Amino acid sequence: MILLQTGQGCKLSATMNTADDVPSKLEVSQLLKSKFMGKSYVYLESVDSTSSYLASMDNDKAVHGAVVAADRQTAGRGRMQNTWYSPPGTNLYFSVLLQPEIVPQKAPLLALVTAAALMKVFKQKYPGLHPEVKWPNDILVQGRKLAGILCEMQTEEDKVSRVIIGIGINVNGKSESYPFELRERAISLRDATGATSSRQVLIASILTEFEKCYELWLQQGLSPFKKILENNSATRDSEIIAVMNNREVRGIARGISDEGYLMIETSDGLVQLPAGEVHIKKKI
Amino acid sequence: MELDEIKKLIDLIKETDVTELSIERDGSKIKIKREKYLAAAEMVTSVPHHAASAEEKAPDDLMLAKITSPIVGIFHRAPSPESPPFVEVGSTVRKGQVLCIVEAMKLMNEIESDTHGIVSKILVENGHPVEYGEPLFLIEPST
Repeated sequence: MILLQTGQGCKLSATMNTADDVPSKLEVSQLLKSKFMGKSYVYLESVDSTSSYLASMDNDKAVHGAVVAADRQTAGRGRMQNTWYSPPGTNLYFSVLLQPEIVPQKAPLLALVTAAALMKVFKQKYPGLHPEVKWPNDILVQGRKLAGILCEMQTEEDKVSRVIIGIGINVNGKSESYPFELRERAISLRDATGATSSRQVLIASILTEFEKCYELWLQQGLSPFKKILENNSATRDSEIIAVMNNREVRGIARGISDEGYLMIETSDGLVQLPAGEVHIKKKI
Repeated sequence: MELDEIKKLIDLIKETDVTELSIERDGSKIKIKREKYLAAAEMVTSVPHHAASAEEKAPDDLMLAKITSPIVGIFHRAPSPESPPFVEVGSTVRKGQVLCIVEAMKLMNEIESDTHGIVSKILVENGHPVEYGEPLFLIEPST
């Protein structure tokens, strides 16, 4: 709470709550240093899901680099219709639309490139944070989820028509206010650093960095990102169980292949995992 | 044994399930062994058997539209484990209707039907890995 004394002795009070940093269009556009990402930008106070909204937007607005951000989501989505807890006033929820001129086989690598971009921003802004990437694209701090990414692709014949990348970041929420089942599994930047962050500054930094990473990936592929993904991997050299629906692969997680697959050393040899949920059993 | 002969032998066993081959001739001995990890890697990322069977179907199937996977990934018949499948054999589908999801590295690719018609065959089991270009569905186009 800030109290301001005016000349007439009248007191004005203003509550410095985190909602003052809503990632609205005007503020974010002033902070953006990108060429195309976020130039088309929609801010919504409340939406079911930023990715669903972006998917249903008219083609003239849903251009390459378009962004939809919201203060809260009523039906934020994770993988396979898991929900993403999206309360108002605290966190970042946004989706980016891309129309890369690439073959569909390459598009899944965008999930890793997005994770690399988030890692770069987190490491630069919060030197003591020590974020880790849990393959393919969750960002963990202290083994708890700080950020999640969900990519959805539409293809037409053998072309990518569009990829929508949904990003959720726990920014200013406090773990004691989370639903019980998330308290041990989620963490916010505030939980980890003890300080609040401006969501406007954070989203502008991420979009600016993501654009750089995206363009670098188009030119050079995954190799410029392997170092940040592998050196900050939550799974590397850990005993893991990877689950693909009802099938399980058990072994030691190693690096990432050029295709972006997780390499797992199993008792039967080296397995390359293209998809699935990874559970870390223990670090070796 | 000449180098060319050895190369031919290697090529020959590549096309088979043979993992080890020993030949002794004129006092020289050669042993060719395929690494086990290749088989393990293929288990997850290679074309499963059912893909081949789709190619060998009766001529009737030639009239059917084939929906193939545009990426390597995992085949999901439903949007979530608790949801009913997008389609069943016999379902009427329209062009652009979502038939399944192929997932790779948390990128969910909704695969749409490119024709109006009836689902004639579902060629992959839920949760199984699929290759690029692998047939997933056969659709009987409606006229």
